[in-house]
Amino acid sequence: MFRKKYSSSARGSIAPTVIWWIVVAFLALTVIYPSIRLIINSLKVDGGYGLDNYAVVFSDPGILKSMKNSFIVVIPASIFSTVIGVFLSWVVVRTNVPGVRYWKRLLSIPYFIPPFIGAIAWTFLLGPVGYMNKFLMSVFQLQEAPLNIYSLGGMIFIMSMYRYAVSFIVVLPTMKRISASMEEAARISGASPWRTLRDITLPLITPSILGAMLLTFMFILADFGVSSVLGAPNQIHLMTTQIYYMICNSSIANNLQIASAYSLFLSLFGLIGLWVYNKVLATNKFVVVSGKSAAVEPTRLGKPARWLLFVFLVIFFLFTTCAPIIATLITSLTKTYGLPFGMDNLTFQNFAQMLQIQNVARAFKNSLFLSVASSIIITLVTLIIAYITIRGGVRGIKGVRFMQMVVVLPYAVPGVIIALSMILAFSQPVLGIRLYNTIWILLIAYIARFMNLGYNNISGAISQVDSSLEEAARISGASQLRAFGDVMLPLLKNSLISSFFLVVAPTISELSLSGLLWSVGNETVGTIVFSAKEEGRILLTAAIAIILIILVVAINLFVNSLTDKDE
Amino acid sequence: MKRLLSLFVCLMLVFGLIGCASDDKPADSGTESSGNEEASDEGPSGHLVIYTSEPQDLVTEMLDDFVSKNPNVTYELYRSGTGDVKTKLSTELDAGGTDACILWFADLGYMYDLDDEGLILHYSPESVASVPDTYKYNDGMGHEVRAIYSVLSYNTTQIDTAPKDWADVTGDDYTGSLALANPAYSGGAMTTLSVHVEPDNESLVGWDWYQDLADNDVKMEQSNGTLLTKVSSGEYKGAVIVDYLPRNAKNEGSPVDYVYPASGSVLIPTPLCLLNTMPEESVEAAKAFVDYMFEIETQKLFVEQGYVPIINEAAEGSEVPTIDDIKVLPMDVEYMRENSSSMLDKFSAMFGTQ
Repeated sequence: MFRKKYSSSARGSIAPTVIWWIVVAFLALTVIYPSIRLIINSLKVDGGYGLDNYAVVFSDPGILKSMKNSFIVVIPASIFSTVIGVFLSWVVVRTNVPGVRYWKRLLSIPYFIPPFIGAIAWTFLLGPVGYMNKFLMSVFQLQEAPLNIYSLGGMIFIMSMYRYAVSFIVVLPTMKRISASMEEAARISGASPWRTLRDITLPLITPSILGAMLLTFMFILADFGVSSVLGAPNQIHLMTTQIYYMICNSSIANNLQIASAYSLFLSLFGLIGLWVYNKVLATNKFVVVSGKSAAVEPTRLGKPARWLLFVFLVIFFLFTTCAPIIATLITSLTKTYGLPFGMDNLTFQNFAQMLQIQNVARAFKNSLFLSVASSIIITLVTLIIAYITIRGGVRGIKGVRFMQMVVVLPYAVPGVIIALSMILAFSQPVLGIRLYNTIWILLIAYIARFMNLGYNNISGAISQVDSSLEEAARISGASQLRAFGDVMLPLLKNSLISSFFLVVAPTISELSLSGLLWSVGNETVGTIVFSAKEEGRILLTAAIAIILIILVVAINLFVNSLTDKDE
Repeated sequence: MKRLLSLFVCLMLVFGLIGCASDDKPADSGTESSGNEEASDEGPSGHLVIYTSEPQDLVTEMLDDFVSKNPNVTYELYRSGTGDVKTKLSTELDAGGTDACILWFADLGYMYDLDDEGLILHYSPESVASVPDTYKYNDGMGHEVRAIYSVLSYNTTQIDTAPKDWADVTGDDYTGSLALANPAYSGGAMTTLSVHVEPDNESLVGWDWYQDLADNDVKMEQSNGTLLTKVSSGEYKGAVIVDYLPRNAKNEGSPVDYVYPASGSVLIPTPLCLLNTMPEESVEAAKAFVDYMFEIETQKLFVEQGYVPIINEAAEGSEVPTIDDIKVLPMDVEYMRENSSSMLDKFSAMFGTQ
């Protein structure tokens, strides 16, 4: 709609077009070229090419079972997570619950806990000999542990308790920017706070909620940490863990090619999500952020309701965030694993030991660099693509939708398959340059994989800003770039920062990609933690995990405090 | 506008850096590992690239020691689980070649496959002449440099009577709380499965034993490390696990113990092999590294880490047994290579992997 308007206008400079083509070239290198190698690989069969691997994907009973399991887990978990996340962001932004300032930070912490560490922490709590089960057994005099998290139900529960933070982070900035006048109008006309939430606030931010739900859906679909930790004991496979199973299982002929084919099929679900999302945006009746709502008036709740909400938040926070972290902390301070924790089984030696391992410091440095660099690049690239996809403005180009796809799809593909495509694409020199076995291959892989996180977030935000604001600037004589820089950027600031964080957290502890692409000197924190766990050094694993969590939460607090002025 | 431009400058910078970094690359990774600046003309030289599934601490300690004794050698290391290492190597070979010179991970069958394709450089140092044939493969294709075995471990707070043999862990004591490493992920578990069910050992363990485990709701993990963690915590009462893990945990005071089963343990082959695709100038260094592995000091380093050494005298004065102390079930490599796929299918059907 808007694209037409701008592309027919004769005004505008060459700059947007140049920027666009730089981005296209960049994506061609990082995503399109490796994808082509992967697609070719998925078509390889003994002595030639064919669709046989795809035939296996749709006939192998193990693979079909994993698809079924995935849907049993992913759909309810995405819905629960989104509902919780949206509700919490409403509470935090638009009510006067006590301690609002702090809840914003505290409730987003689960997002910063690496998935496999989170999953292990939850097994400390809810596993057969976990604290919670032991507690319930002693209270109710039970012979057997009442909770079994090694099940599909357990996965749904833990993913929801853990991934609500994705929706929370995505919806929060939009929630802040809705024009308060409509809510006020409803309240003045006598609607209760709940009614206002249901009939006014929620419909207004539907695109943002859908964006959050799509992102949560993809997060959970792409999850490997939780599903591999919880699925292993009873051999419950979801799609991602089934793909990893195929990869490890070299006794199956063509196992890597079948795994590639299955991954490409998995990425189709991301495509469907994207299609639905675009359809919803296309109706375009959600443009409600006028840009003038910096001072939102929170919905006033009565005293009992305020404190009820407060108690709920406290319990929720203690259970979903504090409990797993404390369980991990206890483990990291344990002297001898397996003995009851107490004063005589307390030590700091695990942290001391961590410092002695020469590669730990280097790994933290590498991960920090990779994470910050990829977050900046992703935020920038996705801003450009999202803006041009939604607003148009670059003359004479086609394939905008295709670029959007290129950005979104890799996230649905398991990390290990992205790594595979990177090896296929870059293990031999490309254009005379060999990036393989350097830290740059990791950076490219991170950018390709996590671009979706930034894109989803920023496109939701852009489509909520009324284009009349920019049009006003253009009419007053500003160039398109100027209008963008002076009008859009300030409005998008908070969303850009949340994009940055959406990417920082998963990249700093990234594991499944790095697992195949690192080498000594280029190790990442994820690979170090995972190695320690695989070697049975659970105490060391917990110690590194604690440092990692502190680091990520600290970055979060630091940058948030820099950008706090408008709150 | 200004902000947008500056962001672009950043992007360009990153691209620039990519260019520079890749030019520097060989020098970079070379100096990384060679601690000694004053290189002499004596001794082997070259750049070694090692792909392994061994604990990284151990491997880097050894490589650093090796490099300090051979100052003209530099190294590069990739370490991950056996499955990952194989995936990386296979994909590289598919894409046109690998940098790897030395392979050291737990998949003997895969090494034989590479050997069949003519990719393995056969080399047998003199020092292994006295080592029993069980620990050497295919006339210099590869060697065990230390031995690990599949054994039974148990949580001492939960199990009063230690099991003595494989058959002792299928009873009611272990219902729903005995665990195995999943052979689909763990090369060691695959070997254990194959040795257990091969015709010669069928009467000692066999598929019947696995059926008993399945009936007793046995659990699976992807790695031995997780097994150890969960046996220590008491989540599992017992596990089939590689011997050095419970040995080290027991020494640190965790409530775990282990037994070498009476009818025989399973040797988990983790051969050290050389690839003949490595550059000519690295061959001498790679061979020197194999020699180094069998030196007594190196073997003692393994003993310190809780491994059974290949050279018996390294175990003197420690509580680690020698290879002669341990009864091993015979292993038929050909059987494993021919049947691994059908064994996994049968295993999956039995344990409901599908």
